[in-house]
Amino acid sequence: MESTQPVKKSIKRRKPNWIRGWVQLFFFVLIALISINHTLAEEGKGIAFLSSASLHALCPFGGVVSLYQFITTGTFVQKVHQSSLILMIIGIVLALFAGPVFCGWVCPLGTFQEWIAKLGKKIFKRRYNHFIPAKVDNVLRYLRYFVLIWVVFMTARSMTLVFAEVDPYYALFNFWSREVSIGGLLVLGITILASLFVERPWCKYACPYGAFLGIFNLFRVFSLRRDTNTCINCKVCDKVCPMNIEVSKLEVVRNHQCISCMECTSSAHCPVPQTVDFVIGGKK
Amino acid sequence: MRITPRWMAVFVVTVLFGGILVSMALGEWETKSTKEPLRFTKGEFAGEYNPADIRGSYTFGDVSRLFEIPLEDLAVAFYFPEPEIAAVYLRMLEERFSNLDVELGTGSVKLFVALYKSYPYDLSVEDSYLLLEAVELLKQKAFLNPEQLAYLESHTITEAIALPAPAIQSMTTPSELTTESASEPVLSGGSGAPGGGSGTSDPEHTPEAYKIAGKTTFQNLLDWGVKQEDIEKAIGQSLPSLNLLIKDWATAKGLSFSILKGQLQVLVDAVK
Repeated sequence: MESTQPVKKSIKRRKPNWIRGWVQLFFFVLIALISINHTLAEEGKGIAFLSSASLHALCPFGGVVSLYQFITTGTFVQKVHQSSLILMIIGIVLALFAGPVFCGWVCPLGTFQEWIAKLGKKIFKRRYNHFIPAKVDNVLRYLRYFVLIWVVFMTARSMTLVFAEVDPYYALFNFWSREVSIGGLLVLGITILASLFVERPWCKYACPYGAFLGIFNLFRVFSLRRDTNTCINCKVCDKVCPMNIEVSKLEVVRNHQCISCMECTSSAHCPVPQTVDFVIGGKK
Repeated sequence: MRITPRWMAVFVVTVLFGGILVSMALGEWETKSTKEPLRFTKGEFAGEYNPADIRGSYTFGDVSRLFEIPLEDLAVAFYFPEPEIAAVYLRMLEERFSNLDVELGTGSVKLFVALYKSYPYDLSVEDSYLLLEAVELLKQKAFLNPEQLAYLESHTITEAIALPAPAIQSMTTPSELTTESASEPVLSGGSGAPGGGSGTSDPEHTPEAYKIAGKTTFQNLLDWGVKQEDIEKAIGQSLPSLNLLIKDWATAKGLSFSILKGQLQVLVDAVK
């Protein structure tokens, strides 16, 4: 039973998950620098100590879309390299333990959307992230699985990186390059605009890699649990969840949309200690 | 056991960079292409590299090595200076020929290599175009079937294109082909070019038709108003027989007709 009485445990103030913010900033800057260095290196002006790899080589989703070709022919889809496959494996290892932690802590496009969300929250206050009716939203959440299937199928069939034509992540870090597609810039523009109303719209509705990693939430080793004995039902966890998951109604969060950002946990926004936590083995 | 954000941060960073470091230590971390295209899996050419998998990240040197095509042939076909072409990335082609109405890029290299090597190639996959020089080279060195010939007929670039001056200069090996008046050299299509010169001193010629083609003679140039001394300066010697085709003269001298044509076309255009 959920407690509706004031708990005896001390209720702490909310504190932002600052360490996640710093990790996100680190990866955003790292990817931006590598992308700039890639452009410089092509002109013979690259910085020696920094990687000049293309973004395709540093995208774990490249490994996912290349998997069919790699298994059948031993080669990669054009523009994708072995590093993508290794990052895909690393992403899977992370997800097996903690779910889509890559989305919540590493992905620079997710970070970028969260930064725009700060502006959206200032403009729309409480209405932010609640513009889309729940019924429509619930259906749209599965759209990204169709995107995933379409991308994997088309890539396997054409043996080309079809997703590059609409990839907002590539467009974000290559908007100055001739290699970026109009489709990618268009999708990036839509994502930026939508981020003013909805938090992480690309992640919620369209990201095929997020869809892939989201499946791991169903059986991840670290589970996100809410202690119903100490929960005061304040619904702070629901409000801070960027993916609009109603944590306050769950005992264990297995939602495919959870990005393991930990914003809902007692280490961040939950005001009651040891009430919403990531735990190993099902017990605190 | 509870996992705090700090613990999670350490976990994420450690697994991510640890995984990368381990793969580096094992020599598996590759962020660049191994530059080995797919091979034909069946048919007469099973085991050979498939030109359809040539990528923009390859250099012409890679193409030459993988498909055993002499660099000098690639240099002629894609209009690059031979000493430099080995290091040129295929993706640079589009930029170099960006002023064309049609795209000349990696797809063109795939087509050229496939036809040069007489490998099977699906012409319907994409519309790829080749320069006249490449088509002539293929006709000379490759066995082309009627379908391929018909395709090339409609996919030969014959329009005039301006190229960056330094590239032309470095390409122009014979010093006599340089001309001071050619501020923006032009490479134009030869015989068969739409609107190309007829090669006669036709009084009904319109200025737009004054295009040097395979049938153009030195006499035509004079008729079009180009000064004799300018022509001589461009070709680096006194005028040969006036009825001699410029193309034949260039061939006899071992010069690129395209380059010479470009230089002379500038003179013709200056008269207009």
